[in-house]
Formats: sequence, C-alpha cells, structure tokens
Amino acid sequence: MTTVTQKTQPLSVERPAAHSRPRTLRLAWIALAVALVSVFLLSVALGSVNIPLNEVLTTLLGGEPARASWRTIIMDFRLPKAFTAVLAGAALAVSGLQMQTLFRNPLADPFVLGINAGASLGVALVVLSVGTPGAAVLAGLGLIGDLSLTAAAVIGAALIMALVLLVARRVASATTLLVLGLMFGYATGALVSLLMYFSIPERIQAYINWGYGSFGGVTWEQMTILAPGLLIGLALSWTTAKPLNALLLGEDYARSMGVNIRYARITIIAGSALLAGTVTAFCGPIGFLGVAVPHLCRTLFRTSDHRLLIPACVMMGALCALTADLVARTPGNEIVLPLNAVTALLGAPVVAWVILRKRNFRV
Amino acid sequence: MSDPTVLSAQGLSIGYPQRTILTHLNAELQAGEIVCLIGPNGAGKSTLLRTLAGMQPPLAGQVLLRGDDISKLDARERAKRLSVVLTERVDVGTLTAYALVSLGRYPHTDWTGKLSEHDDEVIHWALAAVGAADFAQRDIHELSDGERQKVLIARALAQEPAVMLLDEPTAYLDLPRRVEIMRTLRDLAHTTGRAILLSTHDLDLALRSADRVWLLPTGGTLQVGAPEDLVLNGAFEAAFRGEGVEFDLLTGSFRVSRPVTTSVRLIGNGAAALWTARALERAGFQPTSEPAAYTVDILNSQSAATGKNVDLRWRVSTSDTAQIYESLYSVIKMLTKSLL
Repeated sequence: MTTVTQKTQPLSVERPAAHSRPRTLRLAWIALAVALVSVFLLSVALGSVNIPLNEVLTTLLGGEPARASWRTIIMDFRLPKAFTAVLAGAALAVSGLQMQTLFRNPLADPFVLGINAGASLGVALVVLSVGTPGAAVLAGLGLIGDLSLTAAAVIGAALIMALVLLVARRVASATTLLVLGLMFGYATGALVSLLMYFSIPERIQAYINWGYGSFGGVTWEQMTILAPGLLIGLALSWTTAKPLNALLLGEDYARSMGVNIRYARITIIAGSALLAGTVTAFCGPIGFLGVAVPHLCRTLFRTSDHRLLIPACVMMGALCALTADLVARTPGNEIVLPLNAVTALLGAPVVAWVILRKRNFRV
Repeated sequence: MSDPTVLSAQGLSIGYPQRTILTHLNAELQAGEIVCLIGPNGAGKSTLLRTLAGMQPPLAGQVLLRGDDISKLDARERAKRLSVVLTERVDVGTLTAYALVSLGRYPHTDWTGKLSEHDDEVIHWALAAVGAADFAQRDIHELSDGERQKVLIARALAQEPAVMLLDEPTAYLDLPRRVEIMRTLRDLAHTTGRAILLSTHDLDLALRSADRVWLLPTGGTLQVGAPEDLVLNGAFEAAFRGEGVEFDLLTGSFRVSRPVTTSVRLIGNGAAALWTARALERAGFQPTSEPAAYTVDILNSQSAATGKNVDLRWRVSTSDTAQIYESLYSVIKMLTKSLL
C-alpha cells in the first residue's frame, strides 16, 4: 500500500468576521414568500366576476359562498389556473436556470434545445393539417380540441426530448448541442410556416391563439398529469444542484472535481426538458420567464449557488407567472390580454433595470 | 518505507489523433516535491498536463496515480487523488471566495453537496494556506488577478489530493505576485507532503524554486533533474537555443543575446560594480579589468551608519579626457554614442 503523509489540519484557523449577508438573505426569502402568498390569493380573488374577498376565503377554506356559481368560478376556474401558474412559472424558471448554467450562456432559456419547437410542430400538425373541409369536424373541435392540442403538444415535446437526449449522449461539447438545438428550432419553424401557408385562416388563428400561451384551460383532471410531471421534474432538477455548481467553473474543472459530465448533462437536460415540455404542452409556449427569472434571482440573492438559486427560482418563477397572469386578465374587465405579451412587456424593463443597476453583472 | 511516487507516466505518448507531440515519455512525481515543467511555447506542456490529469487520453502508455491507471479510476476517486488549476478564465458569476473553494469539496460531499463541519474546516484551512483567508467572504469578481489565482489554488487544495497539477499558475501576474504564488506552492508541497507539478514560463523562478525540473524541448525528449543538474549538463541551453535568448551559465539567467563588440575597463566593487557591469553588458560592451580605450571608475563612499552607497558617481576616462556622470543612464548613453 502506498501511503502518503498529508497534513491537513493546523486547526487554529481564524474565522472571518460574521458577514451581514445571511440576514439580508433571510429577509429576501421572507419577502418573496409573503409576496407569493399575497399574489396567489389576489389571483384567486380577482377576475371578470367580482367576488368579495371574505367569500373567496370562505370558499378556499371549504365553506359555502353566498352564491353557488362563485364556488364553481373559484374552485373550477381560478384555483386550477393559479396552481397552474405557480407550477408553470416555477418549472420554466428552474429549467431556464439549468440551461443557462449548462451552456454557460446568459441568453439560454428552457427552449434552447427546441422543445417548444417540437410542441409547436405537434400542435400545428393537429390544428392546421387536420383542418380538412367539413363543418362537423369544426364543430367537434370545440369539444375535443383542447385535449387533442395538449396531446399533440405532449407528443411533439416528448419526441424532441428523446432526440435531444439521444444526441446529448453522443455529442462531446455543450456548444455543439446548443447549435444543434438552434438548427432544429429553425427547421421546425420552417415546417410550421409551410403548414400555415397551406392552411385556412380560421385554423391559423387557432394556432396563433395557442402561441399566446395561457395558464387557463387546465382542468383538475389535466392537473393530475401536469402537477406530478412538474414535481418530478423539479425534484430531478434539485439533484443536479451540486453538478451545476461544479459546472460554473466549466466542464474541464467539473470533470476534474469528479463530475461525471455525461451523466450530469443527461440528468440536467432530462429534468429541464420534462419541465419545459410539460408546461408547453398544457400552457403553450410561454416565453421570457425562463430567461428572466434566473437573472432576477441571482441579483436578489447575490449568488450563483444553485442550492439557493433553485428554490429561489421556484418561488420567483411562481410569483412572476401569477403576476403576469393577473395583469393579463385585467381584473374587473372582460378583456384578456395575450399572456406572452404581458410577460415580456412587464418583465423586460424590470430585468433590464435590475441588470443595468448592478455593476459587474455576470451570469 | 512506503513508495513516495504518487504519479508516474509510463511509456506515455501524448498528442492528438492527427498529431503526436511526444512519445515514450517516462517520469514520476514524488510526494512532497514541487516540480516545474518548462519548455518553449508549443512544446506540449499543456497537453502533457492534461494527459497526466486524465483529461485527455494518452495515445499510448499509461498514467499511474498512486499505482492505479488513471483512465480506469472513476471520476470521483480520481478527484480525491488529483486536482488541477487550469489556464482558462474562471467566470463563475457571483460567488464568494469561500463558496468557490467549497466547490473543491465536491468529491467528498454527498449528493446534495452539503458541507460538513470537517469540510468547512478544510476550506478555511485551504484559504489560510494560500493566504486568502482575508478575502474569503468577498466576491470572486471583486478580486485582483493574484488574489483570484490564490483562491483557485485553495480550491484545488480543498480537494485534498495527493497531486496538484497547475497550468501556468503565474501567468498574467506581476513579479511580486509570481514570487509569492511560487513560494506558496513550494511551501505547500513541502509542508503538506503533496506532489505539485506546474508549468511555467518563469525560468528564473523555476530554477530557484523547483525541487526538480521537467524540461520539455520542442520535439525533443523530456529531461528530468534538479534545476542545477540541467543547467550544468547543458540541457537548458540546448532547449532554449534559437529562441533569441542565451542562457548564461555563470549568472544562471537568460540574457538577450547581442554581439559583444568593445571592451570597457571597469574599476570598482560591490553592488555598484555588479550593476554597472550589467548595464555595460546590456548595451553590448564587455566589462573587463584589463586596460581598454575607455575606463569606467565607480566613485562612491559608503555611509558609515547604513553601509549603503552614497554619493554614487561614475568617471569615464580615456587617455586624454575624463568626465563624471551622475547616472548609469548617462554613462551608457555617452559610451554608446562614442563607441558603437
């Protein structure tokens, strides 16, 4: 046996003076939690139908509201929508964080690997090409349309996921993977364009509507797929916090520290794809949150440590998604704005301001 | 006695599928030893380090890390025995020095990466060992290049490996920082019993600090020995010949070669004489004690209190003229003007 004497511990090491950071950190967590709960309640309370706040609370706590219709509105529409927003926001933010670190690119988002392109293609195939003449089909679409759209998006996203994982196992460099994802997105976009070119206007409109994104329309039944899918994805992401931290130093360093790069990459991509794919299937391609929320969290918590950033992204993502949805609904009004337009319009200036204000900004 | 060899290259060929850089390389690193890998640019220093670190497969032969083939060790086990400091710029965003060093505990922590009390102690020890304890809580991007390099070395140290490989750890640093880093590494090797191999362009520093030198000439074979051995057997001179520099056996330093044309007689002693001689050589004159056309006389008096030269002047004379100068700069200027 070879033994090498290694002294490691002259233990009288002076500790640096306690830093004020932990306290600021705790404050940030508390503020985030309070904001999240408040916006969640607001999201359930506000809408096109005016329901008094105490009635909302009564209903949420299991009581009977003054009118039976309020119960239906709250329990079957607003509550699943709010839960969807929370889950989807968290999922997109965490997925974006993983992609930004994996590709060491501040512009990466959950869709860099073409997952939304796959979902879009699935939806486009259903909406645009099935649209053969016949009033019966059109009438039937109202009933089964939502379900088949979801199914098409799930299949499209899953196929891309499988393809990406297959490629990721063989490709050595992350950059190559990034470029391949990009090229795949272009190719898919071109296919969708072709489908649109040969489609009728009504169909195109239906496709465009899907493209706006929405947290509504997820039923409790669909929630039994959406919620477990996203929770599994988030759990998987949590297991990648340690390798993601090592990857901050680059793949060479990570490997030298004992990271199994291939395994780590597959886990990261699988978790991220599951999150982004599931959200896109049920809510449409929701942009912006995935790229912006990780930046907000890094700035707020002043760290790149994923063991902090992942829970932070979960909360911040949920908060941003709820807020955007609330604004899109224009409470007290019948108008519903496209969700994607709201996320970007509200978010872009905020993120730009936050980033510009901070000197030395790095991912 | 236990075998002090912690890393050995056996019949190693390195390079890329299309380009072989070195073949049949045999060398070993011993515990508690600091070894400098030096050689001209393009000789394959980085490739050799990457191959020894198991980051790049050898074309032939094997690297043994504590007796086990490095390519067969699993990543975690390898990381517990060997750590690296690379040349690539580290851009980790917002992490404190402490947090960055804590990444070095990667192979020792569980899947969540949670640090135990022992991990915390090792991190603080590593920071203190490289003299980075004072800025442990500062953000990496607020640190100077030298401070950041110390933190990266602390990170490699926190891995508690038997071997540390460093690729040009002193590049981009000013001279005092280079000396400091080198001294730190040397102390680490000697006091912690780790083997440290670093590549460097700092020949002078390598000659003065390394226990052994691995000399890698372009297209040649790796030569190993104490720095002085390699100087005396001419390996040094041979490796860098044709690089526009010349190794001076007597002073142990490289000099920018320039043909010597004229002798100048130098009279004087002590530090003033040494530096005057260097100034003359730099300008292309050969200082001599024999009579010559020009004579430089050092006029100084030493302070009784401090022993330092005070009132330092130079008298430059020929057979018929003599003039006194206040600085070497003006001496050289005058000689260059009249003689070259």
